[in-house]
Amino acid sequence: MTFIFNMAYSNLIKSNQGLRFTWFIKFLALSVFSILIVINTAVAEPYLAVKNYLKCAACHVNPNGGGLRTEFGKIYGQNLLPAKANSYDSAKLARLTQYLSIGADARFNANFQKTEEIEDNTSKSFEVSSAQLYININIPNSGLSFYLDQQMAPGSAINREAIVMYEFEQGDFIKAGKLFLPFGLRIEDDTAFIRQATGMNFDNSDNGVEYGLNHDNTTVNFYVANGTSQSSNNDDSFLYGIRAEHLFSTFRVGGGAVLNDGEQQVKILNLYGGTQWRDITFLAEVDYLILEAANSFNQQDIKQLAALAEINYQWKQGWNLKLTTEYFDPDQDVDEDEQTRYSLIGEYTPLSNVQLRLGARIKQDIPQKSQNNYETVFFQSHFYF
Amino acid sequence: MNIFNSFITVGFLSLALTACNAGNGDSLNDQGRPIDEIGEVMDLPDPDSDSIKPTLASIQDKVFTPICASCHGGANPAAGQDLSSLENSIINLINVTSSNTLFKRVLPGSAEESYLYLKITGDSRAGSRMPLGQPALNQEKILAIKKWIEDGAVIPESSSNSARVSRVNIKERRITREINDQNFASNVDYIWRLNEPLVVVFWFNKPMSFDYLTPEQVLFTAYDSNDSKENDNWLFDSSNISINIINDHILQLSISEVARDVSHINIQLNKSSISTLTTSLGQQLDGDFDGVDGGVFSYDIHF
Repeated sequence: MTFIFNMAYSNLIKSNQGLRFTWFIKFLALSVFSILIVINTAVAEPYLAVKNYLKCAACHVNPNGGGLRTEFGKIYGQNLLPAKANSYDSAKLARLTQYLSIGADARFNANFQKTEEIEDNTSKSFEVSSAQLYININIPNSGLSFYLDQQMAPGSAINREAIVMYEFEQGDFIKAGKLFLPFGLRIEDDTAFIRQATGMNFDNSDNGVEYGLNHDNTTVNFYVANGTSQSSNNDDSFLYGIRAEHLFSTFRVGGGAVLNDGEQQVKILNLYGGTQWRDITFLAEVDYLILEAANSFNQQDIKQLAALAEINYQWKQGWNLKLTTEYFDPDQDVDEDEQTRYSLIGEYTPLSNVQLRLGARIKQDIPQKSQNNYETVFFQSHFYF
Repeated sequence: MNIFNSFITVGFLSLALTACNAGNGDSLNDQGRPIDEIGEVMDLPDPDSDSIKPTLASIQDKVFTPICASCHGGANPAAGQDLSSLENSIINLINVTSSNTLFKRVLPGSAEESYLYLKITGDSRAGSRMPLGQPALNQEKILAIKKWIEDGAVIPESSSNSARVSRVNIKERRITREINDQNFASNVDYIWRLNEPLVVVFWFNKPMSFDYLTPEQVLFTAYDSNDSKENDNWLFDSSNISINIINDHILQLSISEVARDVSHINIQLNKSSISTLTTSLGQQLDGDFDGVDGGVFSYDIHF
């Protein structure tokens, strides 16, 4: 936290903006308030959480990370993430009233992809990758809030999260509604193996109930959701899960277990962690999946393994280099069917609320699946608020 | 921190992380399964053929299993839509309402009204283009899916799924209503003119045997404007009914001489006391959608 204060303060000095004493006092008070929240609650760009020894709830209204940012999250995104900070108070701007705050994320991509198919093997496109609008209604002094995460584009509006949350005085919380289930590292890339294989991604929210238990640096989440039939539970079976995470002084470790009951039962075990050393942040996650009787040939279970390791190197404010390597074994009883994926992404945040990303990605599958062997180069502009 | 040292550290860690390689695919088929496994026993596509065909078995083999099922399959299929096997694809696609409730995931006979087709072509009404984060499907695959849908989204004849009516539409008036398990009612806004035939088209999910179907075996019951009285209904004379077999899974029925005072018409197929409809392999039509072969298929048209 000292790091954040130093960065924030030095940034304000450097930019020579907003140096009025009263503003700084407000900022200081807000930061202290945010820290108090952090202590008792959970982060979204996970490497930022690991780098700053914070839980997800420090920067996000949703204690499990992702979506609308807290006032602290907005200040961080405005002042500490970019190379040059704007002078306006984004937290104040986003808070329409003391009860209502808003936020947004919009990603616009330019893509070039090349597969190993013999014909028709390249594609180039511009796309609105996603545009999200967040609204949080907070009833003061009641612990009660209503949170809405609505995808506005591309296509017609799709609700991603609609949650009623009650936060107890000691920091525990209970959520009900359509929600992202707490599982592993909540990385932004939904196409990562660990997010695809497990189905725990930003494209796949579920209807259910979650209880979050917060004790000092430990968070434990229990949840029940519809599972494989998310929109309506027509199989009388549910998905049960638990996630636990502890922040140590220089690193964090977390784990989880999921039982997705149903006609075909699925069990998932998950272990993840992160640590930070100087300007380098390291993240890793391993998921082990057991798909009951999923082999249609011999009715045996299929056991899968998905793993991710990521290095982030922030050598200068506003700049980050991200290297990700992934591994997926779709059936541990079958040899030579493994898949890998490597990404190298440069992230530059020149100004508050705008991030530019240039990345290259290589996906390798078995030679027979020519469409699944491809290289991608993309440029993304990310507006966040 | 010395930047040079940082780069060395990052480089070293990077090398360590990229040590894993993808499988070489030895002894695996083009779905990544051992070649001695025969997972699907129904209408297997020609293994020697690399090109995709407009059949569900071929689309499953070339698109759904190798590409879509990485998300729409496994532990927690995206959107609850499991496409990992042919059976699952049938259950999760055909006539299932999509996340945009204006569309079915697959509406037999109409690719432009099918969310699946909109998704793979990047139509703005359907959100993110699929496959998500992967190269778009090539034209050959897209056209095969389009043709499969427009041909009626027929499922393999030998599949264990029931033979059903997958869609009914009324020609001439351009009024279409999708099949709904609970309610087969269709609303027509205006009165049919005398002598103009009412043309109803039935789409079936499997190839059927229509060879022995006669107009007498189809029950057209008309109700007058006060259909609460049981006596105010009558069967149409079979001489006013004509059957036109479009192909092995599309049947067109025409009825002429519909009087002005008719408030609605009920059409019944597969009434066991009169006749039964079967697939070309002898499976009886599941007319009442109860998952058991047999049962009357009943469809109402209100004027």
